[in-house]
Amino acid sequence: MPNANYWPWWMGGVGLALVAVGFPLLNRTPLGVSGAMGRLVALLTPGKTRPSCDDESAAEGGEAAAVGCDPIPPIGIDASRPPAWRSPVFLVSMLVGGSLAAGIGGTEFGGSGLSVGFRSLFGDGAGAVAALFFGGLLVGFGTRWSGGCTSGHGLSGVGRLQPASLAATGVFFGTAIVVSFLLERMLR
Amino acid sequence: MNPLRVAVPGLILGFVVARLGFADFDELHRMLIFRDLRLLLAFALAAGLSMAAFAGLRRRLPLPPVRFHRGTLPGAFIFGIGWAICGACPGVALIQLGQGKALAAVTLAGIFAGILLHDRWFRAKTATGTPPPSAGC
Repeated sequence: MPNANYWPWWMGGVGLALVAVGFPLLNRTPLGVSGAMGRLVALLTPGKTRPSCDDESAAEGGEAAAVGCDPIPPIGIDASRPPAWRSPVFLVSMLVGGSLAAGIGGTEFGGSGLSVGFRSLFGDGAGAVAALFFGGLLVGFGTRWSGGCTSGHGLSGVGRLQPASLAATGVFFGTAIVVSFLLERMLR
Repeated sequence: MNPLRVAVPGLILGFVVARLGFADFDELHRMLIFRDLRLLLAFALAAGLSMAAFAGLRRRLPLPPVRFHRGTLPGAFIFGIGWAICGACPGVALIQLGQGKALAAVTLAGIFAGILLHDRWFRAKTATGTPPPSAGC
């Protein structure tokens, strides 16, 4: 049974569009969670990741330019390079937003994170943990390689009718649909 | 730069995604097997409203184009597989953790490992002359 506590589709649609358009209006850069996640990983593991487009060296045409990562062109009034804290602040606020929803909104707080349907597919134990880690691994690698996720390609890119994002969104949605039907077939 | 410019949209995004049920594996799975189209409708409305807004703001809000590169489609394919299995895109894993779902930490660890793996792989490749993809997101 669908959870009756959740918002109707139109409220969610309006809320998502508000962020997809509001974020670039406030920051002069497109919304993108996987991009922020990539910058966070780069911050936490200096020297282990490829140079980001936000690296100082990119501005001088250093290492980042050498690997084909050109700096984001300056746009509008706030053309300065985004400070290092920007991605972590954005990501932590999303997390807090989830807590607020659980606190005020009536979404269930706590629990293992293993919903009923997930458990019936992958079980309770090591299989479930392995599915979460392996799934996450593919999500991290895939969104980084593709240069976007449900927010960057799906909301922001599609909203701006960017051909690369339209194609990527079609591919990840289509793939997820096929894999979900396969999971139903094989595991249920 | 004011931190609220990223914190406020982040808070709203986390709140909306959680209240919509997009961070709930079962809700997402039901959308992906077309048993419940609620999330799909929400996504379609969000895309439609954004298109209208971005079309109206084209002059005032110039944003860099999303570039096609060799990773755009295979990356999306790999992401789609992972998304269907763990029910989380990068933001959703964080939101689940915020909702107190402790096991989302495993998903997040996987995502971090995947990003590191990608960057190491492509750093190794760049040494042999294969250009890495651009960060479009």
